[in-house]
Amino acid sequence: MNALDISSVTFCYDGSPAPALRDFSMAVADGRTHALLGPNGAGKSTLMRIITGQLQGQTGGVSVYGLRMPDSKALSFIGCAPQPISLYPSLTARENLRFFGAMAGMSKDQIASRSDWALEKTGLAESSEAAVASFSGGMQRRLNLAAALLHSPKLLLLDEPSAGVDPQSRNHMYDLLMELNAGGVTILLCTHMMEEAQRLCSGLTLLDRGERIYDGRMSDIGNLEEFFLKKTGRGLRDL
Amino acid sequence: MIFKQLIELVRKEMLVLVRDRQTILLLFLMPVALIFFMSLALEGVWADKLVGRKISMVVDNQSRSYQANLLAGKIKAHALIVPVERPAGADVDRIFAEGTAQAVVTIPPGFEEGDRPVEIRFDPVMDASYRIAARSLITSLAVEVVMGVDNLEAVVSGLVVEQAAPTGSCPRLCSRRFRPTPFSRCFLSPFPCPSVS
Repeated sequence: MNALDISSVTFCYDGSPAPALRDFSMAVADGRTHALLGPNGAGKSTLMRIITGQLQGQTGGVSVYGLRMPDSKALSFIGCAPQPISLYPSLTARENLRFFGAMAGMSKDQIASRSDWALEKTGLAESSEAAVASFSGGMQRRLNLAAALLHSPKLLLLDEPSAGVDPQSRNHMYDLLMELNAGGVTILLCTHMMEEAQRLCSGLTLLDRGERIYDGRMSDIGNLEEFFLKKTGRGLRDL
Repeated sequence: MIFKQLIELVRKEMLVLVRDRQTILLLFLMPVALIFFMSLALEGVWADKLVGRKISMVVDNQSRSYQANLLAGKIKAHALIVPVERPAGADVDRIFAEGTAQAVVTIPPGFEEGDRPVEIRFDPVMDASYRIAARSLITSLAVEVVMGVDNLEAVVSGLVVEQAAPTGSCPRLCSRRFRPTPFSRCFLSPFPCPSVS
């Protein structure tokens, strides 16, 4: 079974002359790590928001583990770490996790045990009682990921999880993602870092101007950056 | 959203609020500032009516007759009026522009024969209801002078008396004073008071 099925999705923002996604299809098999690459404005974040149900009104269909979205059970399978840090800076790491856990419908005991686990895994156990505002960029990114992992998702959506993160935090995050994937978690990784995509992912979908321009195995590609530039061009993409 | 999630949401919002000192400060300061500025903006709207702030008034007696002098004296002696001398050469507009007085009363020649009325001019920024009150006051003083009455208010108060409704004691539970009308009800009971029926 595919963890994620996207079939012929077309989406246009209100007032925009061109669609952000045009007849876009892709599939991610269960247990795989798949990269979604594309230049700025290609439609990656739009696609992420459509998958999580934050954007609606598209044509075509999105299914998560066979459940057609929007579906509350399918949503419970998804863990999402969005590109902007989605945390409350004045709360501590543990308070943030407690809030997100409660919103996901977890019990107090579940929240406590999963928070300990997520903080441990993201290397934040010692800073769990500190306010997020005092965290470095890397720590905030890791806590952002911890919040996405709290409810034991089967499908993890990561939108540029290593943006603004130092090599230490980045490698720690890579190790964690590989461990999660080894444990059966399917990962869809949206990134601009080619080495990150090549290191972590077995599948690749290239997206440009709302259209799929490549879908295949990562192992078929030698130099991903060269491949990416060849497919999307070298012209600047200022929106 | 289930109740537990709502509680957690409220808890989180309270924590965020309590730890954001600037927001707390604003939350308390803004209403205080609003009350302060509103009280400045509305200053005098109620005070004029309730406290009875005095009116500064120039009395220009152009008649100099006995009745005119009597009226000028009554106006100047009234408790709610602060008599102000007209500055030399100042016309009415300048008096108001400089804030010397809020009103100018002119008693023209011929007032005593009933040929010309007493003229009142008010500062244009003066509250309308306050003008009415001042005009009523000057009118009643003029009536006193014309009719030869010493205290018009005392005379009028003897003509019409407001009669209070009869009162009695509730014989039942409340034993409060009440006004027995056919619709009177006991304070503690929904039924009409037996003392009425």
